[in-house]
Amino acid sequence: MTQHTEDAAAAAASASARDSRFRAKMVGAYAPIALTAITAVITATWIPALPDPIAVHWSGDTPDGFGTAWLFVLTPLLVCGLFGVFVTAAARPTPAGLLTASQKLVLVVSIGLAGLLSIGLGGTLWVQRGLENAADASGGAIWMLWGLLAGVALAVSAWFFLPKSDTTRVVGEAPRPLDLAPTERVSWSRSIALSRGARLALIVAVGLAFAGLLVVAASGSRAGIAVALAAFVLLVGLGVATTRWRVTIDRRGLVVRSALGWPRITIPVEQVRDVTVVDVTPIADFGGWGWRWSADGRRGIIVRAGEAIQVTRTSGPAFVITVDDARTGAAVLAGVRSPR
Amino acid sequence: MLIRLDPASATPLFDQLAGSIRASIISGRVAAGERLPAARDLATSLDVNVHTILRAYQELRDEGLIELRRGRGAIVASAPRDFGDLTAAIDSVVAEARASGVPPAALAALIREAYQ
Repeated sequence: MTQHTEDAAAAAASASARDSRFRAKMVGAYAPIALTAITAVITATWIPALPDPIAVHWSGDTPDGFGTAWLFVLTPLLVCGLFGVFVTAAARPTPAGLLTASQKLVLVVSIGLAGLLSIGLGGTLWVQRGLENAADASGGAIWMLWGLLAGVALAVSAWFFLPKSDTTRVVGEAPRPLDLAPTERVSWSRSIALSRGARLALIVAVGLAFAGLLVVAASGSRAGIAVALAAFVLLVGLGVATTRWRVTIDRRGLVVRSALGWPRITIPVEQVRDVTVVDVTPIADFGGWGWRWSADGRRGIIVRAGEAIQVTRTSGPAFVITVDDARTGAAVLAGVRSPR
Repeated sequence: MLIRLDPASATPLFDQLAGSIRASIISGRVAAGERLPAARDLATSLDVNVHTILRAYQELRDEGLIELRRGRGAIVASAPRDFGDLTAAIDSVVAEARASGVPPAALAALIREAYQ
């Protein structure tokens, strides 16, 4: 390639990166924040006409939980504002100036969430205007369904407004296979733990879930409490089980096992087609941390950004594990795989 | 942490094992506080007897390189001695051997001889 066309290609990539960045901010932050801010202003003007407290939870079409109207007026703006800033910060365009499918997914969830909360919570306020007592309210529960439909519609349109997904396959760098004597035995292992930032996010999520549990316990039915408690226990259990792992590579292949013993991912050596070292950006590549399914088909245990071992299997999806000294681990796996 | 054993070698397995782990700790490839694999898991991984692993772990504990805690397994000692000078000296010896075309086995033999 001549210098001239190289410059032109670089200029085109940076122009499309600027366009991608603008569209990402639009879908991830500007539109959701504008939508929820307008909703907050409109619903705030209804407050004088609303009962106090208002109905916040429904069992069928009958209100069974009550709270302050400000909760519903401000929640969509607060939630979407925080979420929007978070997902937009992670939406850095790829070298080709596009966005990965995972990045697009979290961005459209942002606008979808704004639609769901604005229409859903706004609608339940709308049906309560002019009532003396919130217990007389009806027709509120259906608005959550309308909100869901609006959210999905917004998310789907936003997907097409965003640039097309970058489908460049992550290949990575092949290691030099470890040279092993015919009788030699080898074992490589490391323990890995969720990075501080991701752990903090997990603790916040558990805290929010606990707050939700308290709200349901204060206002909800017996069945509601049981469901919320089960969901909370499941969340805490999954959080604990996916925080610490041990990665082992030996003659049998690759094993990644949670510190609790479960879950455990095993890739027998005969199923290893290819092993490389790749660089992982958690949100852009996998939509977050933990045990992940990437939008590009890869599976992974992602505890932090940076170096990772990527194993392509003879059949099934590629598997990625973030681990320090990934180069040595990959070299060992490549070494035990090659015939001696 | 990388461990390599060769049952065909004259050196006892537990000695090779301790040597492998010792090298990882001294070179800084395994950080202080890192947990070593459980003895039973490592035995399965290397296809050796669990007592071989335990013997190597005990030797490393006696040298102050690792701590053995009941129920928590083996952990790289939080304040292992500073081997910075030794690591630097090894680097220069290896570079010198490479430059003079001395293969790893010959260099190891020379070092072993110098120890006697």
